[in-house]
Amino acid sequence: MAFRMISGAVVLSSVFVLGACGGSQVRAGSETQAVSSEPVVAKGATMRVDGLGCPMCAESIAILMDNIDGVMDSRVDLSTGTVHVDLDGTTPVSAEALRRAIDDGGFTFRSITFEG
Amino acid sequence: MSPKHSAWALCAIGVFLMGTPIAHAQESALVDAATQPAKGRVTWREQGRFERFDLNGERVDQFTLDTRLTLGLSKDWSLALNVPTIDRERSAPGFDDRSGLGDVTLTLKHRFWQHDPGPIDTNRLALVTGLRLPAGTDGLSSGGYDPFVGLTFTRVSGRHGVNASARYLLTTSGERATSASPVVEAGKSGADLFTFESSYVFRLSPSEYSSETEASLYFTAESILDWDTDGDIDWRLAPGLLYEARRFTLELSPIIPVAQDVDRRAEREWGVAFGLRVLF
Repeated sequence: MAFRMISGAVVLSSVFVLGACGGSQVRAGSETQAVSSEPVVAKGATMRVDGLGCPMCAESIAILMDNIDGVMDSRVDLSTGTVHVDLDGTTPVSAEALRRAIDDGGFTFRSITFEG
Repeated sequence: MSPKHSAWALCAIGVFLMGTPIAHAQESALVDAATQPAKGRVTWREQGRFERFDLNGERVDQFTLDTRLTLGLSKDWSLALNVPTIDRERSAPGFDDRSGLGDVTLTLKHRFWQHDPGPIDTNRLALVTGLRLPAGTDGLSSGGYDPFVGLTFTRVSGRHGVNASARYLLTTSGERATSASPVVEAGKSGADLFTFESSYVFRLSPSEYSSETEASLYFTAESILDWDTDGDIDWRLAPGLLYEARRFTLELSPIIPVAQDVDRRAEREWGVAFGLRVLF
């Protein structure tokens, strides 16, 4: 009886794992960009982030970004894995600070582009 | 403090701590996941569970309110405190109902491997270890300091997600089963407990994320196997729904026994779990 139940649970778990092997949205070129700790004055920045997983994770990123001095607003697009932050254009913000916030949230930072 | 007051007090603590972000990728209701809060953040989760057991023909109804606070120690380490409040009613005349705090559990989780191949895709492995403390009231406690160790895996791939977890609990004391105070749950007797659980999560809506996505609805299927080293074993399934918005999550899962072979504790008839996670 015990052997049957253990086998059943293991088989079912294997089916679960197989079910989660499809539909992946793997990003082409998943290398991570090296970033500078030199502060930059800019009007915005766009980051590529992997491993976002869910809407609540997206909100988590937004809160982490909002805690950084100079960040006015942030938007997360789950379909593309991009995080855009509006900067105040006067406070210097380093790419390293933004990267660290992504990292502390448990996500994988890929690249960043400053605008303005 | 009565169980009802304890529950309200714990809810109040949770509300106080709710100004914090949660990083829980497609976590199902009952099965552990290799996810944890961001560094320096505290998360709060409240889950109610009603379960009906059969104890040699006698009906035992148990309601458990699980309050879990989790602190992100670093990006890879977290510490969780789980405080259950239990209300147990027995149908047989002459036996007192039991209600009060259950055993408090401290859990240390270390995510030692992570691979994120795409925007929403992730693979994570975490080592879990901890201690169950004999904080529970008489009849609701194992009575010992019980350590445990386990491994948890989480994968999110497009609309699909899977969690799998194995855990071994070393019982150092164990509840003394008597007719007045029977052992109802797994892991509360003198035997050790091995738990193997897994879950599948499928995103019903939206089929594709967009920049406007505000919420997701998931179907979840959970499998939980409890095997006491004294030979008692039970396997149950929990198909359910999970609604996840940016600021809150609702979960609902009926608990259905698949097979069980138990001689030393109560037999599970059915149950239902419902929970709430909030993000401010």
